[in-house]
Amino acid sequence: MKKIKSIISLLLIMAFVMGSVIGCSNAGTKAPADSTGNSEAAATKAPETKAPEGKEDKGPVSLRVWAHWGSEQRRPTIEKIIQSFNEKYADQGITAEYVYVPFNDIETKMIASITAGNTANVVITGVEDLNAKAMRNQATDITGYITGGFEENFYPQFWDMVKWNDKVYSLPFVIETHMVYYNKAMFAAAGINAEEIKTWDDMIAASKKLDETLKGKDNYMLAFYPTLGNFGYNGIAAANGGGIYDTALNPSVPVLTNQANLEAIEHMKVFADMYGKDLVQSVIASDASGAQDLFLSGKVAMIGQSSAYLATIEKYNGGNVDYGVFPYPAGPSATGDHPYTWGDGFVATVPYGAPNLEESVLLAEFLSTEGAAIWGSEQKEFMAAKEANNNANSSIVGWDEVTKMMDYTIVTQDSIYAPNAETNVKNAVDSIVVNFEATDVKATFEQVQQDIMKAIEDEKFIFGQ
Amino acid sequence: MGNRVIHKASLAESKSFHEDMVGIIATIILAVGAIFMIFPLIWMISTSLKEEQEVMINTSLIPWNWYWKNYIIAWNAIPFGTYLRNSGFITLMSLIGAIISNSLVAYGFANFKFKGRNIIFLCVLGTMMIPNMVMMIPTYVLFSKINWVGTYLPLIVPAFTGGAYYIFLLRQGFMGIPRSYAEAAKIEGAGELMIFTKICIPLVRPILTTVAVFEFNNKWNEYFNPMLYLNDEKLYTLQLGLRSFRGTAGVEWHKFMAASLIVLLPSLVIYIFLQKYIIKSVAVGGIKG
Repeated sequence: MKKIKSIISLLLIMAFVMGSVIGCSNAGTKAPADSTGNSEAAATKAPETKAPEGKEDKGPVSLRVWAHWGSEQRRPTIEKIIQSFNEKYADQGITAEYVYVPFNDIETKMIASITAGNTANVVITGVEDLNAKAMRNQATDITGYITGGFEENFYPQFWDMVKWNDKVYSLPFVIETHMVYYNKAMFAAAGINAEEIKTWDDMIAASKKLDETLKGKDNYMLAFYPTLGNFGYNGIAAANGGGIYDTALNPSVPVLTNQANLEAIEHMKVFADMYGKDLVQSVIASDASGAQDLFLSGKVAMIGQSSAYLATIEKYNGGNVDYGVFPYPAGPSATGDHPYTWGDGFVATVPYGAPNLEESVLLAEFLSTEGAAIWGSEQKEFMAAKEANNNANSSIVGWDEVTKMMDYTIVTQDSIYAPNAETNVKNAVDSIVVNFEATDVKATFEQVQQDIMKAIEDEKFIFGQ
Repeated sequence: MGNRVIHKASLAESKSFHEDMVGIIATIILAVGAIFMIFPLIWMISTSLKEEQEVMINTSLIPWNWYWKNYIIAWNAIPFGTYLRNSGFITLMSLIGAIISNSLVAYGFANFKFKGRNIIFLCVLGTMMIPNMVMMIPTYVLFSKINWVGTYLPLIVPAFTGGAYYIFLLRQGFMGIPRSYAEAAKIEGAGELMIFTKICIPLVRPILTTVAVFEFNNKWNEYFNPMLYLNDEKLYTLQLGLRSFRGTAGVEWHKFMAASLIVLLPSLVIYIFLQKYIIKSVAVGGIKG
């Protein structure tokens, strides 16, 4: 009786102690100390790190890379990159190990591990919220570790995307731009020359001509619709010098109701009015993946897609569709002699508090240059390191045009204060041109603009700014 | 007299007819419900037997070609054997922990009177109200401070500290056992440990089975904690392995479904064999107390 009572008491006490420790452990969530050991200071400003003046002999160093590439297609390439790194730095006693972490949860794992101080050395993350990671002490300022002239390896805009307040917080890796992919046979049948599509009016006229020629033939449904593929509002707005914010990187002032943005949504609405709700929704519903996607199955004559779509075509097309690419034409408010589009990418981030900082940056540098060459070549994707795109893939149709388009690609980031703004805009655009609910374009955008501004003000208030 | 007998017979016939009708309608409703419930499983099986090109265009549940090879491809795509062993180890250890700790704690709450018993029991139940996401970072920090991150300990040890729902379920079961059994055993010279192990545990066996099935399901299908705490792929579990079929570019549905079915099989078999215990214990936990 006594024995069992004491066992039960012990279990109850254990449960309570565990609960109390868990509940009271916010001490562990405070910001890591800065280089002077002052954790309070580190919590209120972005982390600053300085490269050590002299190299110490630390003995063997083991590094860990977390990324979301776990499929049969991706994993061999990232493992090959890590193996190359290990071979290159074997004599210095530096080795790296790759750990696959599922895509949707890599950020969660990173944040938890940073808080606990046992994070990986390099984590591959999206660039859209790198500014927020820098501000919130989740990414390390590695400026002091970057060798002079290292940025020359990259397209300038893709180098700028890894900076916040003029300091480097990541190194660029995979990048994306956006193009219009078109079916050459359909264009020929309609007597259209893709090179002659220079304005938005040309785009609409070409679409009408394609519809007149091809309607009712085979799988054909419509010529082009801006929300199909992954082009969307961003693609149209960027081609007109617009965008949600006044600046693409580290933005905080929404300008959704300016002329360029309103013209962009009005242009999209022209397509919506031309095709109508039933056709648009039936095209969207008939989309599938692989060889059955809208473009490869011949349901549309043109589709706005990212540069990664070239790899999809290579994998599934089998030479069935003779295709070409061109940039979406510039809108009436655009400036310059070449249309622009939007882009994004993945970056190699050194999480705040990562051990062996110097070696971690070395690994990130390797990934973004020599590793990028391997990745680009094997995965047929575009890399931020310019040299990495000069490979055997240049024989792929459209490769050179996409490479050229990198110079006209604007990388966009979320606002630190309104990370969901893009979703708000997407919902508004969908309500106009996908669900056909909102008819007053200007009023809809004004409402979204107000929502974003309110979100920014609220968040700034929380941050005490 | 004769009329009355006929009338009674007619009433009985009518009652029987009504009962039959109710039975038929109930069966139809349940059958429709069962079809709805089982449809995702059938869809899984169907997709797992289709070729990649067929998945999105063949809307029929019958594949054009029965592509059994998907199972071999899925098995070879990830180190299934290693993940199976890891998931099995975590699940088995958690099962042992859950059965021992929950039954002991529940027995204490049901049979011992001590100061603050009800308040402590309410506190235990209160832990069910705390969302997991709120506890994520503090718990992670705690396990990190004691160097458990990267090991199986954060996945197994909590099972040895009891779970509110299981404690509640078992407490209800223990409270349903007449105290006179224990008193009679005491007169015969049995100690509390003997009463617990020889009398009470056999009587709550259906509930213990349910706890075991639930814990098995939880641990076998657990994804988030292994993702968070494990840093070495050699230690990864089946659920983490399954995620590798999903990438930024989409999901390889045919392989994903084949692999999911392999992972699902043990849960399915266990549920089929032990469902009567589960139903019984849920009834006990839900009605009594």
